[in-house]
Amino acid sequence: MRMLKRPGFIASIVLILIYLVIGIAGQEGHLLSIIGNAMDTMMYIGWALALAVIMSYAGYVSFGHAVFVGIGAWMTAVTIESIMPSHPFTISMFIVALLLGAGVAALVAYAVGWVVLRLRGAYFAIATIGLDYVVLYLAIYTLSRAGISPPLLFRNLSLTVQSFYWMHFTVFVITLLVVYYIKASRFGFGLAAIREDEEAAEVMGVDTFKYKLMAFTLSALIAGMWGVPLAFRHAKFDPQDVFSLLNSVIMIVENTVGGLGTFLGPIVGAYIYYGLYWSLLTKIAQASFVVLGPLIVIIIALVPEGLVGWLREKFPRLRKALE
Amino acid sequence: MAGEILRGENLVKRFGGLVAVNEVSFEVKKGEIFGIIGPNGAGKTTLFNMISGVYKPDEGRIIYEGRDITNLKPHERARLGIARTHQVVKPFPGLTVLENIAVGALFGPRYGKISEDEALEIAREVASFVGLGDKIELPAAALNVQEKKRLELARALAAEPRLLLLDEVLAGLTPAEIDSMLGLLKKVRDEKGVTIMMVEHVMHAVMNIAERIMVLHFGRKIAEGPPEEIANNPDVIAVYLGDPSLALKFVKRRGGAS
Repeated sequence: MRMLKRPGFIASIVLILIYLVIGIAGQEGHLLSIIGNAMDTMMYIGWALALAVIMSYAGYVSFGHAVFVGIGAWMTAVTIESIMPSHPFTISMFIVALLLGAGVAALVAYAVGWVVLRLRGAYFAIATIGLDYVVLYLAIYTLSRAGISPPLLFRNLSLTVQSFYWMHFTVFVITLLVVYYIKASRFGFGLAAIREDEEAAEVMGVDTFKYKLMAFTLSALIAGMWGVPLAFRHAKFDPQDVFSLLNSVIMIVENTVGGLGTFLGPIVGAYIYYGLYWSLLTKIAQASFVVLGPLIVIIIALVPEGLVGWLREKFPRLRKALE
Repeated sequence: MAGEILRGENLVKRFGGLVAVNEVSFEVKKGEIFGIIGPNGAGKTTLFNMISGVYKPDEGRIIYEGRDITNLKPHERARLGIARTHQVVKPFPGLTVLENIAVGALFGPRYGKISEDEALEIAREVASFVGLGDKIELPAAALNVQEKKRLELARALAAEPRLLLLDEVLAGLTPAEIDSMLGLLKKVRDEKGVTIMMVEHVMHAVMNIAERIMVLHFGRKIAEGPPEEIANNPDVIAVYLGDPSLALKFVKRRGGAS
């Protein structure tokens, strides 16, 4: 299995070990602030890799991908409020939410993808924005029917920061391994062929429609999982927040800044995005997005192929290492 | 029918009011090199698109290895062993030469039977077979036209096809490049037993390599037979001389212009 000796896999293992150490060391009270940053970065990497499967590998930009994170958060609320109400928190609650969130997100993506993946390019992107708004208002409507005006707060959970951390970590490990496998397998080859030239891919034997549908479904499944630790951490389901178009844009920015078509690109992009966001937030607070927006435009204008893509082009010898 | 690999029966393809291919029937024997020639707009590429499944014929049937494949999708036909190259080359520009060829190996008739590592190994062999052995780590976008044509051929060959459709692989090549490409194609047929169908504008090259030639004109088949017969066929001569620009092009090619 040469797959396990390749840079992308090694990078995944290194990342997993680093976050494992942070999690264990973070039991100490004075490291709590790092724990917060670590959870944020895991989540942003997770979002980036989720979208990467359809956007960066298959070349189809999903502009409303936050819809699947939102579905994951919604299903967490359903788990806590309907399936396991007045339960104290147990691991099984997290697992049920994870299965439900990932499963429903994947089902929705499969059904929608079956229709819209017959459209090429921009139509697909627009269709996913539409989907995001449909599900957002469906969630608000469902809550109001139950007599709740959003956000829905989870009142009876008393969880420690450490438990949020391990939730993030669990989803993080699954994401890295699944996405790396997708990228390095025959499936990944097929997706790359579709991204580069869909007609040629089909003529060469790639079942393009099935592959696109599988990629979109898996991409949604991973995004759906990420809604679960998010909802637990904030102890609420706030539709306007989780379905926000801004979240979709963040995922796209991470992929673009990092570099399309590589495994490491979205990860690097997530760190760049979060680094900028965090340093601006701590300095100029509310104004941060005013500066962040133009900064991202400048970065993309300077290195349109993304940082990892630029390095691969500039230093051909690094191509293999920067897979 | 013994020895037959592909048969087209009364194939018709219309685009709006234009009949691109009009009731064309033909039969290709196993292991032969079958040439298709005709002026621009004769329907040659449309015919290829119907065989590879990119277009569905409006009428008629396509029988491959005794099986009706008229309603199969392109990827299903590829897995049955039909591979093609494109007139306008379609490499995967961002992938390396090696990865491009590996896609051919992974998704051809051996789909599901070989690993990614094996596919890369096959790609390495095929790359040196077509003379791209020293370019395997380059992105396909960095190749010149001649190399891209070789890459198209390599990708198709890596699939181990039983029927290879070549759409103007010789166009745009210098006479020396044409000779080496012809040598390569002969090797493919003789050593690997692949049946080759080739659409060509470079007349003398097809005459040189094909055992039988079909001539299309405005979507209709006007002649079929061995090269020497085709060269002396009055209808064919009329078609080519009737088109001064093409006749001129033909003369130029012979004169050695690239």
